[in-house]
Amino acid sequence: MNRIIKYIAVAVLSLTAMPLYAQETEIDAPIPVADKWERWGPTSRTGFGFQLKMGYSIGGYSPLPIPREIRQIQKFSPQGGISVGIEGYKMFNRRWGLKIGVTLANQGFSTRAEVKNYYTKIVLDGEEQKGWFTGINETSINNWTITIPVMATFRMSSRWNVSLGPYMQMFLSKNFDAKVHGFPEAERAEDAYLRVDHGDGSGPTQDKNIFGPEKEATTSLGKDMVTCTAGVELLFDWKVTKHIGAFGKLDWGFTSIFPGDYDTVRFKMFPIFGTIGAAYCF
Amino acid sequence: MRIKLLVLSMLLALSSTILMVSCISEAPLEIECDINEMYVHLDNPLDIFNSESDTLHQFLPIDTKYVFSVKHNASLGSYPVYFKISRGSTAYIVIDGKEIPFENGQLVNFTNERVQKFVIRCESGEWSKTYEISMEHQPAYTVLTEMLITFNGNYTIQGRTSANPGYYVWTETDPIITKNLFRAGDPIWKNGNPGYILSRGSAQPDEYPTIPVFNGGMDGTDCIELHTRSTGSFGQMVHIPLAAGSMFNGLFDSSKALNDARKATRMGVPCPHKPVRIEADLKYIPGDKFQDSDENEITGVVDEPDLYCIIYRNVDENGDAVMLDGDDVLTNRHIKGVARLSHNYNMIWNEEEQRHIPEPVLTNSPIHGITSEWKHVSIPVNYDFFQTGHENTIDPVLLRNRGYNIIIGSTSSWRGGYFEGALDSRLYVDNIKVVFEDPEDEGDTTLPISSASIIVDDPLALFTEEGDSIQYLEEGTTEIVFPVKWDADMKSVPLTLHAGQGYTVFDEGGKLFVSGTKVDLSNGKVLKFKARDTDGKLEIIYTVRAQFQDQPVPTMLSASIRIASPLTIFNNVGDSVQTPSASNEIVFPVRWDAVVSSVPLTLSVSKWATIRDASGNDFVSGSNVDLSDGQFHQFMLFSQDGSQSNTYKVRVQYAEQTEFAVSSFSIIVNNPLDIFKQASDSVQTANEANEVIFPVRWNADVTAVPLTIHATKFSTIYDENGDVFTSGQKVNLSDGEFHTFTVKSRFGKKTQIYKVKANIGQEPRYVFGFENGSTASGYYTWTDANLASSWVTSNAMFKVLRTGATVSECPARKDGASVLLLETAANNSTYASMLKMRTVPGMIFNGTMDSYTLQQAMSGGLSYFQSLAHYGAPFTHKPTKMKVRAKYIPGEKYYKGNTYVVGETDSPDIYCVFYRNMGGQFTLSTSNMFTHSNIAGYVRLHGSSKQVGTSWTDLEFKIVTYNVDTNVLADGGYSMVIGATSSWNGQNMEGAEGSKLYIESITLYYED
Repeated sequence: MNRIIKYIAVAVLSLTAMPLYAQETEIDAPIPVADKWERWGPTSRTGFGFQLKMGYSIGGYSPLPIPREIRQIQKFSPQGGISVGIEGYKMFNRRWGLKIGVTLANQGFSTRAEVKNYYTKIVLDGEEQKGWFTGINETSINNWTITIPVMATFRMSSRWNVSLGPYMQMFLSKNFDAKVHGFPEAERAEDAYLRVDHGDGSGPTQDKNIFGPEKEATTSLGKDMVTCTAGVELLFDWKVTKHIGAFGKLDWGFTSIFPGDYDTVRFKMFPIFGTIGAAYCF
Repeated sequence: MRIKLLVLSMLLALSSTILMVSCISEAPLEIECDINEMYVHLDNPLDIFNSESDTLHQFLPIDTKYVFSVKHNASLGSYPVYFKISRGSTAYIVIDGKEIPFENGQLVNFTNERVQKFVIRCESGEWSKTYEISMEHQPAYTVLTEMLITFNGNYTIQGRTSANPGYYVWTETDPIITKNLFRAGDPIWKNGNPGYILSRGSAQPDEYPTIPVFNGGMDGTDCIELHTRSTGSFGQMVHIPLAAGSMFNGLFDSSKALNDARKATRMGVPCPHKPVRIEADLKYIPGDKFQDSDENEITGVVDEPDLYCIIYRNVDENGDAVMLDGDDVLTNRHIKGVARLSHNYNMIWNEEEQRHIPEPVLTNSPIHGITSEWKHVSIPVNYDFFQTGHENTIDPVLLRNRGYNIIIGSTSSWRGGYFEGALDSRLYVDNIKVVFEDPEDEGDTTLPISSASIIVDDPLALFTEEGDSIQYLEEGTTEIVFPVKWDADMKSVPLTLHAGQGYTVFDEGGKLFVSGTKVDLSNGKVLKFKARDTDGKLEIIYTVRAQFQDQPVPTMLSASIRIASPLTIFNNVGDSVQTPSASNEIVFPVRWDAVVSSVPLTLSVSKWATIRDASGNDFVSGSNVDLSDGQFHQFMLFSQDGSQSNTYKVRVQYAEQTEFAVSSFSIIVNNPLDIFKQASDSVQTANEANEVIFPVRWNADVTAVPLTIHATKFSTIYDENGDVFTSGQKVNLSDGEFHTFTVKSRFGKKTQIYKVKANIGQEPRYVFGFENGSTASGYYTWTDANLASSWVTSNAMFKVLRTGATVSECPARKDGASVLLLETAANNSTYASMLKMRTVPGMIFNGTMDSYTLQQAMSGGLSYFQSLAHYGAPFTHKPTKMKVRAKYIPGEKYYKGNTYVVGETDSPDIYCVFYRNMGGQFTLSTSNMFTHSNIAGYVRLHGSSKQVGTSWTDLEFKIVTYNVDTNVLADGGYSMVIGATSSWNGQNMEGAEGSKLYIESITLYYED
């Protein structure tokens, strides 16, 4: 269903690559260490500080690991991705501090995947279809979220900060549209079908509902989503100037976006998003 | 810096994409366990099936059962079965309650209509499905003129689950209907309900498109209501917004219901009757708004119901099964006849198929005439529905063999298959009556018996023409005669006698005769029946018999020689089967070397023909016959009643013999070296002149030696007397002459004459002749290649004593061309006198003579002379015999030394002495010539009983040798001397002047 992990991996890897690059630039500036820390340090003498952040968020909801029923992810395209937030911190000493943030972010993406024997239930106007589906599954998702992380922050160098801690995420809006349809290729016209589960324990042995190339079934699952998820945030901050910064973070959800007993999507879907952006540091 | 960052990110993105792709796990194990297709293999499918396509069945996903419908008289057995099952799944056959893995092609026992269970287990092992498969005989054909379908009380609710209330299902219980409108094992009326549940599973049973109406029929009993319904949100989503109510016989493939709905309705089942009319009670209330497939209302159109009866051919030209579906139910070219409610059509001419194809026209003025009030309709089946100008014919034999399918179908929206119609259009259907053509016109029913018929499944097995199976009677006729085929089996045939109005038929015994009772009309039997009127006053006796056609002349279809290794007889396996020529001759081309003295001859003859051989004995096909003579053997075929016969002749034709040769001749004895010098001489091949010469030892006994002649097989050999010669037979070759043997190939077609003889060797010998003497030394000297030394004569000595002597005065000389003459010469010289050598004998021997001078001789005297001679030279054979041809004339004056002795007669000597030469060191000398202990044997004329006459005398001496060491002999350790002298005691200077010994030759025989 997802090719999200790819993007997350890009985000994480590119973030971790940043310090390497940063060290290189430090060699060019033979400034005494104490001076550097002063120069790039917290703007306030008290150790308090704020950062306004704006970024681009990319990622998705994915089962982990990807279940065998998902045979091929044919498409993944991110959508939206605006992320605006504010973070406040207090440094307790030169290196260690605490950071709390509030971020409003738009999580959007669409996927198309080939599935096989993918158990699903579709409810439409009181009518229910459930069973094992083989064919193409498309999802389109666009949600607004509020994320509140509470993190320990550590100053790795004069310009580099890393923060890690748990977060809570709330969905402000929920849009999760799913569509199943047949294979577009003529030679597989009868290969896509729902093997109906009659709920009598007979399994995929009875009715079969062929989805020809032009047949599709859509359903909106947004209303079934949970309100809150929790996870861990990993954040890297880098100071370009004393007041302008760049950041990269990874929000890794540890709870599924659907309830545990959800029949339509039987596996857990974890939100995993990476964000990069710029910050203004007060 | 940012650009670098970007590049780095992109590289990382790329590598993580690769990572992602490899993240997709292996495919999940398959979870389905369906039989998709099943095929039963029969070499001759038509033995049990109506058509070849019946061997293949495609299962629907929901199926768990299939019953193969087989001919009513089929005898069932075990057949190889092949399944196509879900990917990854495994098939098992259940035997005695145990699941045994099933391999495709395995034999499955279908005898006694037994139900075989198969379990299919999916790859993941999670699910399984049990199928029941069997074969069931079709009911025997009986005449059917009509059937009535009432839909009374034969419905139940099925498909009920926790989520679904279920839907109505009608199971036909009337056997007349199930036998003729339904497939074996599937007496379910079909409709769209099982598809509707997939889109509106929450619907109550009464909310389905096809529902029963209790007591709602025209007659007050149950009827059915076909109700066009919305399919709800799911249906809309898949663009199937409505479902018309329907009812038909055939199959409903619910898996296609929401995908390709018209293909889901597969209509028609084989029926052996020809429909002529359909009747029904109908009531129709069209829905308000006619809508198209996108749910757009079409104004000015009123929905219409449909009811039809269709007959179509169920197998196409390629032998594939034909089954109409929603797409072509009214257009398929295999359709033969249609009875349908009236509709507005445009008939479109199709040039290629030469027929019109109906194109429905939507109107607001339907012409079907069905209203909201019950109405009984009667619609004839139109056998020219496509308006071709001629009626389609129905082949009665195909019909009876279920070659046509019949559909009885109805729907609430005639365009429902195209999702067009008005919601809530309702058609009520009751009492569908199908009227079939009566195959038997009963004839003039005013007669006591109007007609008689014999109705069987395959009338052409009994009758030349199907019409012969029914005989109409004319007034006054009481004889009923069925003309039947000569080979018709009339032992037990169902006889129907149609009694006229007011008459009843009884059999001869007075029992009521029930039409269809099986009777025996074989062998010209005549049955009697009585037709009696109701009063019992009038009774007319009828006779029934079968008139068999003349039996045809029996024919031989083929003849064959079937043996395990046909190539031992035939050059091609195909030659083992022959069909008779126009002149009834059968010729098997066989190999030239074929052995056909006892071969099984299979004669395939026409039905019921019997075979007799030339002697008039019954011949059982497959019995062994002797065809080796290559001549025709006669077989006579007789028809069953013996009235017809036909003669065939069978023979073999030997191929031309390509190989014919005698490879070798041999004389095989236990000790070949007794006869031959070397063992390999015992085998000989013929030379170009076809002569065979065995070189044998000179002393071999070839008076009776076994001669083997290796000729190509089947050859015959004749000896010079013309008698058959058996290889190994003893022959007498001792004459050394050629003996003629004639070898003839198989059947004497080729002849070769060979001449065999023994080349008997000569006894080993040396012939010493004297024709080549030389006079170069002033006297004769001889040499001989067979002697290790040269000949020594007394000539040299004589010349010393008489230097002036001429060649012809010397004692050893030639007489004539080749004769050796030894003459005791008179020696008148002074020296001779001094030496007391008045005579010098003519002497010759092989050996050496030391040279000497006159002075030495003069001083040495006789003993000196004697010591000069060394007799013999090495000889590596053991002498056995000496032959000499000689004559002798003694001289007149005998001298001892110089002294003349009166009365003494001279005699010659000829000798051969064989002795050990002690490694070449020893030779005999004059003094010990016959006495030395080294002598191993000798012969001598002197002192023997043999005499040399004055005329030519042949002398033969046998040489007895003793203690001869063969190794020493081979090493040259023995010497031999042959010698002759004109005066036997000449060496002692005795002899008569002029004694003459003539020797023609000396032959010395020896052991080889």
